[in-house]
Amino acid sequence: MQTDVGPPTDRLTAARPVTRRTALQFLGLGVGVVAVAGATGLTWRAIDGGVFATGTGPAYTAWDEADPTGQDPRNLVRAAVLAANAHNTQPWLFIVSGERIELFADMTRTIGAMDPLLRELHLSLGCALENLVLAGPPSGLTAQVVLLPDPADATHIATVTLTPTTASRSPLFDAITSRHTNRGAYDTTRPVTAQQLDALGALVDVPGTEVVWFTTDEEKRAFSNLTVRATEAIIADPQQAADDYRWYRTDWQDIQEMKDGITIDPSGQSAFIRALAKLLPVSQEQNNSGWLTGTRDTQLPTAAAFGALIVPDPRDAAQLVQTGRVWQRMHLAATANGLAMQPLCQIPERIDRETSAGLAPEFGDAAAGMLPAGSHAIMTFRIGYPTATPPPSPRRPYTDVTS
Amino acid sequence: MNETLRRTWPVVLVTIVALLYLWVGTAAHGWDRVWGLAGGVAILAAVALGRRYLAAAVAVLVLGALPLAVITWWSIATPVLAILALVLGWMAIRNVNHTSMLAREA
Repeated sequence: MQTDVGPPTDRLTAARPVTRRTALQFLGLGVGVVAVAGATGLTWRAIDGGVFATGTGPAYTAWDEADPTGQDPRNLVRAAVLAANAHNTQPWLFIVSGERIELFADMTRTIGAMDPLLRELHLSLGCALENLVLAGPPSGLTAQVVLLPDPADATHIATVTLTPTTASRSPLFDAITSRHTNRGAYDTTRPVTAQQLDALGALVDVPGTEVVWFTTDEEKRAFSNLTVRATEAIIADPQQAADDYRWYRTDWQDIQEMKDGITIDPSGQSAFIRALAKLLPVSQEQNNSGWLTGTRDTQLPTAAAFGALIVPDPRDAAQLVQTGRVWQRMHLAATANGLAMQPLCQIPERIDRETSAGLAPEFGDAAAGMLPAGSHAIMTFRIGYPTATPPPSPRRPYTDVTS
Repeated sequence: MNETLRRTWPVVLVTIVALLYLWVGTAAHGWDRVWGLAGGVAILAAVALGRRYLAAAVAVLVLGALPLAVITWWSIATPVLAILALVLGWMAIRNVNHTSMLAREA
């Protein structure tokens, strides 16, 4: 009988062979660990970036605080902070004292070269004022407005005096919490009728302010082409592009802390793109590209109609504030009737930039050809039936805007 | 690789994936929350069930892993979690079922 006993090293090799099966087991373990580690990182990024928390958190609680109880002047401010406003800057401050509310412009919250003549600032304050007035009767208060009460202080926009009345609600007030700027695609199979546009136009009650609709294919094409050119011009203007981007909020923690600015959620982009934007850092160039693409390929082609609020003097602050009230009223009425609206103000923004920077009036001249003689567009927008409900934008609550 | 490690690592990894489901559930709202929490519990339950009931465990694993991924497919994260849950979950269930069978035979 012969026994084959090799040297010790051979015995070791024979006892613990690295078989293909073992190698695959280790490979599987390695791949599994790496995959789970990657998934953990991805999940953390998604949760930290608010992928699963759209429209929630401290930045959005103001939307739940607008329902009035009792004759409380603070209810009016709670409604005012939900108003439409340029770049979601929320450029307002309120002083609430007994039977009066003072509305001031917060000049630290301007958009720089995007709004060099403060047109949009005054429109935004007008929107807040309209919500404030509409919120009076549901709280049993009537609001009497005096615009620009202090000639020595241009930031003092309005004094609102409150008097008791019988509590009542209106459809416009009820639409305040559901009114959101809808930047998504509109339903191209559902036209907005001339009667609907006329009904919205009838809400204009400010002497000198009119609404102009662009409804024919030729008018819509002209408006669209000029808006795309204005968007491209803004992006190509370093100062204007930088001031625009300053109000974009891409970090979820920033959004929750600052409660303002333009965020990805109400952008009208698909849920997938919004999630991707929250997971990955977005550069100014990518942001601009998304803005131009969204404007050119989605917002303009799907609009049922475009509109412009026009005035004879675009520098008249009182007229701007009053026209802001009109815009808010129109948007609320549209919301109450199932319509979507979105400001598309690239044209007036570019016109203001030309004026303030002494540039050739390329857009001023082009816009003048689309409007009645002697009028100026201070607010341009689109309208249509929505294809999706837009999520809310962040808002600073009552406590953050009052003193 | 020793036998214990070979049989245990899929269980450990799928447990981590189940905890990630629970984390998503606690961070989410509405139905996302419901399916995140239920999914995490179901994946853990599937592994436990695998000791005795292989078919039921696989069914519970699929029912736990897929709904959150389907309703939040756009999030990118949950479809990745679902794939991992199904692959690792199947390996874990198969391993615990095999171990349990050997123990019963012994």
